[in-house]
Amino acid sequence: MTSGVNNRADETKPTRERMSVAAAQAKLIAVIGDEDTCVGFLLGGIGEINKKREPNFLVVDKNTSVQEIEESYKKFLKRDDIDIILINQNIAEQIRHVIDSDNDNPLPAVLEIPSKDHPYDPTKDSVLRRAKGLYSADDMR
Amino acid sequence: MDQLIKDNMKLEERLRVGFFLLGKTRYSLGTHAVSALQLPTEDCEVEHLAHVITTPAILEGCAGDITYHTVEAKFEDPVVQVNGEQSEAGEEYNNRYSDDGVSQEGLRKRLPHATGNNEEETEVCKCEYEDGENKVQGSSKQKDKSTPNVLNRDPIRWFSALPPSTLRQAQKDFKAAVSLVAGCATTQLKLRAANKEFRRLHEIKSKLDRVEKET
Repeated sequence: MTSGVNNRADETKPTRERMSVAAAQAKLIAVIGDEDTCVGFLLGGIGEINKKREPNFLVVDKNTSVQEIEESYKKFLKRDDIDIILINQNIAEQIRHVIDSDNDNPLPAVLEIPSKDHPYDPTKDSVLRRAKGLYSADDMR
Repeated sequence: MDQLIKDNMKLEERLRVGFFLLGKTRYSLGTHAVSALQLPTEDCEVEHLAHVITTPAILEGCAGDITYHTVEAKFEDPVVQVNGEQSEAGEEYNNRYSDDGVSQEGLRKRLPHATGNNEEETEVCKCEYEDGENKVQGSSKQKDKSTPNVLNRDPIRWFSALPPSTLRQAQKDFKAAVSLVAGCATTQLKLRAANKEFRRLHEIKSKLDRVEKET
């Protein structure tokens, strides 16, 4: 068993070199949330506005349209320098069809976080719903 | 799945404390002091102080080579020393986020006593007080040649020059929340990798079942 693992380790040496290069690249956390969420996380130091004047955050208020949220989400997905997208769960509900449609790429990881007014509901989380749907009573036999 | 839910609950608790402290800060400084109005706009360039590093890892306990990514949060020191050309941009950044030019000069004057480079810097600082803006720029260039300028990129300065303890504590809580976010992301990526493998094996099983039924 262990020798098998070691052989597998030897085969992955080039992968390990790639791993070390990938590991060294610092990536950003983007946030799409209400005022308190964005203020809080930017206070924590994740905020950036790059040379192309592109911020990695979007403050959503009552005047923000669903289209703006969708566009911002899609922009963050396309960017190479973002590995995590934080989005308030109540805002994620508004663009659920966009979040659920992208299943192929593990990165950037989309995390649904609670807001001040809306606590976390695991039944609405996309990742957990997808995982729960895989298991049925027949599979356990 | 349970681990992901637990991580999310911990994150929620930390965020709740952070939001509460932000509310307390608003109570002392005013509603508009801690709001989206203080956040940087697209006119200025802002560097991040917190980032994540993703590293591929192999899922344990599985016969196959299932890889996922581990995510780790890293934080940079907001106070940096810059030299030469960078210091002009740094002074702009410092001046933008200070109350007024005079008070910022006053703060700069205190720095030499902390660093110990007394003679050169105090002479330069006196020049800054003599004339107006041009002299300040000239003296800043002199300062660049002699000593490195200190740039404070701490985002807490966007909200207040003298941040109250509630705001500092809120910042600590949100930094802890960023670390928890990295943990949640790792668990989520692990779950996705396991689900993908489960789906693949399930397809193989259903194919084998079909073949058995046909035979």
